Amino acid sequence: MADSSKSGKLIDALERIANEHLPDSSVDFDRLASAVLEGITNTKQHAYPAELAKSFRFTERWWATGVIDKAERRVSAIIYDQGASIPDTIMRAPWFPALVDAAKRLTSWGNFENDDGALIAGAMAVGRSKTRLSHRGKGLADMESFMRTCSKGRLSVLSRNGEYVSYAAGDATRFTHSSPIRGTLVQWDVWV
Amino acid sequence: MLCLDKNRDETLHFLSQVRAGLEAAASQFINRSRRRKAQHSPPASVGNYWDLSCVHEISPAVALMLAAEYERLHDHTGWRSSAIDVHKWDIDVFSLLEEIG
Repeated sequence: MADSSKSGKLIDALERIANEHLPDSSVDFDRLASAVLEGITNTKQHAYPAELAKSFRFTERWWATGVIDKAERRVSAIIYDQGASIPDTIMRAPWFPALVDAAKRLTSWGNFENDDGALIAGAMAVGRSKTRLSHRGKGLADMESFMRTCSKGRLSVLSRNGEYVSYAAGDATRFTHSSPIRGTLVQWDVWV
Repeated sequence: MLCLDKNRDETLHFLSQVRAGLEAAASQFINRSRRRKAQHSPPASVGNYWDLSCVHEISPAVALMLAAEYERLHDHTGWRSSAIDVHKWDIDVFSLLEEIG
């Protein structure tokens, strides 16, 4: 409840500033608020498992900010956690071996297990499927669905060494970087 | 420039270095604080810092990650970072970091 209230205040403030500086913006702030809350819920449910405390001094927190860029006519919402990354989380999931098998059979992703960009993309794909499994992918897919309501926008998910970028038009791309981040950064950018 | 869109690899490398450096600085701080406490000396200070005066642009996402890193260490060690040569910082960089906290 507290998280819902805090993220709601962030989006309310973002909407107020957008109305002032980009009065003709067409962003659906209610849907953006739902996507951000989904991201925060995902963090609370998955990012700070008890076993993480054995290796890392963490605080069960999330951080968020919003941006209105008048010059670019862009509205952005960003959330960040320092917990277990998405690749870490899904590699511990009981369904992970099945995901690896499916990826090897159905895709050309190659060495899937060592490719964090592919692992995040895999989590997204599982989330979009109708398996009704309770896992991190479902929340990720819900976060992505907001982008499909925008005419121009993108969702970026950066986690450990991987990055997944999903565009409003429906296409997506992924990267695996040499330097990791701690935890997961999710950013929604909408151009109005 | 610290921006994941415009200078991704260098920015990720910088964040990685800051994280490792802050962990080391916080550990030093804890050890020195324990020693000083035992000797009833003043609080310890940390000599480890990053020169942000050469940063001319920082994105909100990077500022958020930096703020989170400092805040986590403060939560766990009580260490408060100090800013160096703030008068030399780019005004927009300073403002964004101040706004984010």
